[in-house]
Amino acid sequence: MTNFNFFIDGAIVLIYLAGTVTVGLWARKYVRNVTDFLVAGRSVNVYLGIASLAATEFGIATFMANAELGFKYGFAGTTPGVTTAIAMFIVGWTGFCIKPLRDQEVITLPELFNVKFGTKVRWASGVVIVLGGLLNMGVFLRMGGNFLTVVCGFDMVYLELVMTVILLGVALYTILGGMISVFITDYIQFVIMSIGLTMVVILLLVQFGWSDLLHTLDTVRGPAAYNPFLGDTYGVDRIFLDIFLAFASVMTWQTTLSRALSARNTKTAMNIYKGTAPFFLVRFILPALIGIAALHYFGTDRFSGSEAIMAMPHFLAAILPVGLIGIMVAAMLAADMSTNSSYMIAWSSVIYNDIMKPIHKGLWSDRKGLLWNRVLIGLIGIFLLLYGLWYPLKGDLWVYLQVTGTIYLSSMSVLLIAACYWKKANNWGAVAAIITGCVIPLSYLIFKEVEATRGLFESIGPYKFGVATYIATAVMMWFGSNLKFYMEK
Amino acid sequence: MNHWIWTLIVILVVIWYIVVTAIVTIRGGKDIRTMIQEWQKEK
Repeated sequence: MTNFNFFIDGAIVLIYLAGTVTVGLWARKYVRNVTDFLVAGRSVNVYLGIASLAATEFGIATFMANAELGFKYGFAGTTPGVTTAIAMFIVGWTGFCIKPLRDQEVITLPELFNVKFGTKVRWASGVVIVLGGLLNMGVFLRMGGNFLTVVCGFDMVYLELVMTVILLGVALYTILGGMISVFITDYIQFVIMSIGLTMVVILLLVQFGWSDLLHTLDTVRGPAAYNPFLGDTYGVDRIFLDIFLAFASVMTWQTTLSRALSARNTKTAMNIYKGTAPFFLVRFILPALIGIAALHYFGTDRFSGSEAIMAMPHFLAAILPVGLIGIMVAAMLAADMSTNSSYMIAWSSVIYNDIMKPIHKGLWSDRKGLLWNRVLIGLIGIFLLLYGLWYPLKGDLWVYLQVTGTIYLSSMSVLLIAACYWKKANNWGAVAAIITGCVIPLSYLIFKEVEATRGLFESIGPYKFGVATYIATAVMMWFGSNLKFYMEK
Repeated sequence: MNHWIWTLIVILVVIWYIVVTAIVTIRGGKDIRTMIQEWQKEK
């Protein structure tokens, strides 16, 4: 049941879509070379950088995942937001890792590794980044499709069609306008998304009442809803993983990093980080509030277990009036499009700049380079469509995002810190760290699906695996580097 | 106690979000204008 009206709400969504795609296509005329296409000519100022980064890291998948955390754990579910906001502010304030990275004027992270660890490590890093990034992004389209199908009241048989239409719209302006189009459309999407989200949060606070929402949390979830250290619902191991993940992602996640690398100078990059830090808290607290309101509205019976993620879309479909539901759908489309476009260009930039480096050797003309970048974005789009249709997501979406993200975040964060601050670090340590960071999370993803090992892997759980990956990766970097150092000595 | 802390956090977050979003919207728009003017000069 939804209040979505195809004439009123549909018109709002269509106006937004037409406006964004038109602006995105218009901006393509400023693309002259590969640097313009991949890092917007390094001309981005602080406030545009903040708007773009805030919009990029808030998509429908994040919105649903964070609302699910609110639905399941109450305010304790906002812990990843707290850790990420703190990590982002510290990194922006101190310039830890991002300062040396921006000073080098590289386009991607592996490009920096080339100097310290050599070309093979650069290539291997590119492969790990693309593997982890694409697996992570693979569920975005299905989540977007699920959300829109429920909120707009489409029949579920149209899910694939909705996913394809979203992707085509994004791919069109990203392929043609690259990062320049992404920045300008991100700005529009930031504004629309903020308006929609604020209106919905105010409406539900007025409609249900703050004290009633707290009463529901008290009754259903108890004190653990306010404190992640209490009880066994959230857990200490998960908090540790949140901390590791927060620092690793703000330092190395290519879509986040690309804003720092596109900044006018290092100081601007650091200010973008500091300014965006609180938005990372907002992206958890506001969706969690909607998740808590959904819990208040539905109770625990209708959406339990893996169904919990669908509570928020059904809740919005039921409570939002005509007009506001159109604004909310436009807002979520804005969030999703900004995320998808930035992610597509981020992974294509790594494929072109690092994985394909042995092929083009940096000697291709701008025309040929641009053509290949556009082809790569198109291929990523096709992969997303196929993966989104094929992969059946089970369990907590945020856990899936954390585990797939860890495939690259663990090794890349260790390599980055070592490259910037440890003189003794070398390619042996880097290779050992990359292999370790890849093998542990992939083993978890595979063996928890195998009947014989499922019990064991589920009893250990994704959080302990995640924490173990970060520690083991750092140990292997230390061990490998020292081994080579003493062997050569 | 928990209620008070989270009430305060949510109020501050919502107010901060509205105010800073408005500032970023205005200043971000100016950044786009500056960026486009520079690209037009370079063209």
